[in-house]
Amino acid sequence: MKNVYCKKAKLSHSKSLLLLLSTYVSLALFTSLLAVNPTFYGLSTILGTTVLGTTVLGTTVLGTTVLGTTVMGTTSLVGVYGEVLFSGQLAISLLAIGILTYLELSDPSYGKTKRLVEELRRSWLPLSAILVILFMLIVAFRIWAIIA
Amino acid sequence: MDFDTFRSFPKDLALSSSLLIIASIASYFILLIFFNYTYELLLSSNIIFVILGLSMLALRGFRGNAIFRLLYIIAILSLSEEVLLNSAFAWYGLALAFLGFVLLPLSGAIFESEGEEARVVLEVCGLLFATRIVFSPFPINLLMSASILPAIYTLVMMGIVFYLWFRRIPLTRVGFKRGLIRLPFQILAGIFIGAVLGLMEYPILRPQPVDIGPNMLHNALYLIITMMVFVGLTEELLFRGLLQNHMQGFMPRWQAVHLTSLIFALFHIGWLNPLEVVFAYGAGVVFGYMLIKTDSLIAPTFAHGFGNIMLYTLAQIL
Repeated sequence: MKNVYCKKAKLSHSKSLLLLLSTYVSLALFTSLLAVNPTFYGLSTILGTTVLGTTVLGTTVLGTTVLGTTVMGTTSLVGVYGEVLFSGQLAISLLAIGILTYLELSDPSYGKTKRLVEELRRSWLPLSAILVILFMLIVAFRIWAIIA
Repeated sequence: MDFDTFRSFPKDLALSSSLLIIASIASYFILLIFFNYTYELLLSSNIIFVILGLSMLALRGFRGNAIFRLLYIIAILSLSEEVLLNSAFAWYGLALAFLGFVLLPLSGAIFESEGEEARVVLEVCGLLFATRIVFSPFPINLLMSASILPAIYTLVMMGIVFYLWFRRIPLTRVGFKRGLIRLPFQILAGIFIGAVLGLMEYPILRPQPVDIGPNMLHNALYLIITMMVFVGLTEELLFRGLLQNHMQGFMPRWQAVHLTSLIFALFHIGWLNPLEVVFAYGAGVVFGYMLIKTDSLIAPTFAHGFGNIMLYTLAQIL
């Protein structure tokens, strides 16, 4: 099926998106300058997910701690999330490599491809862009850690 | 395609949402007797919430092709992913997030004959799981800094922008327009409803105040920018602008608002408070209704952002 939005798209579409994104990046830089004190006391969630460590263990439901006794036992959530982040980084790296390989192999310039392969290529292209950015961040933080 | 008249839409939505809210709160207090404030309470309350929410759809005609069955699965996947991600088994939650992130665009490609709207919905659901994956590249100590919230939301917005650009979806299609009602009225309505929601949410959540330093002005500025732009706009664009707007293309409006709000609520399980999940569902219904009524994201964004500002301002004062 043809993309129904193609006809409606205007020339200014890319520029509007670029403007939106640059506003976000500028505001993110600005707010990071505001936050002189790096300690993260307040917001314990991002899109609803608990961030980490002490904020998790300190989270309460109507004043009583939920986690920490029944599920966690004596295990520290910081330790759990530390391992999860490491595994997540590995998964992102492998997935990014896998999807980039798929995109390269399914490139129509190599010859005729099946319809589903082409459709999947369309669906996974935006996903691959996100994965590549995350992969670059992983690499950047690794280099930063080595230098520091 | 119009599936319902505008008159029947608020009635259907009010009936389904009020029934779900009342039943979920009642079940929460009944479960509280058995489980006290434990993880089991969180788990069972959220399972009952999802079962009730999906049953309401099933009983009232939410059926049809494979996409509808897939949407039930997405709701269950969201529940499992969030419940696991916020437990000692966090890795399984992250694995499910990866699964949703990769497989939902794949299902969009498989079911592309069902129409472009359905395909966008499946791909956007995949994008929802990306919001969980974007945490992974950051070192653990950085995740506890104040700068992380804007950074995470900027990454999420990058994903949304890539998607809109690649799919050539105009910004007006996702609610970036002046709308049907005059702008000052939309802003005022958003602020008023946001204030009411913030007042209602505070006793449920009682969050710690935002404290990024001794300077009050810095704190206030950080709170306004973070809540209004990063939280308000990003979440409204993702859930209402992309998900709800496209769901309306192949199902009645009340079902689109109900299902979007249900998924929106499930992404609040991280607060570890079942009442917050029910509250988020109610707030989602209000934001969804505002989007349909005004045909713009302005009022829902203001309501969402100002609601959060109110919540943390109360946390600072009280």
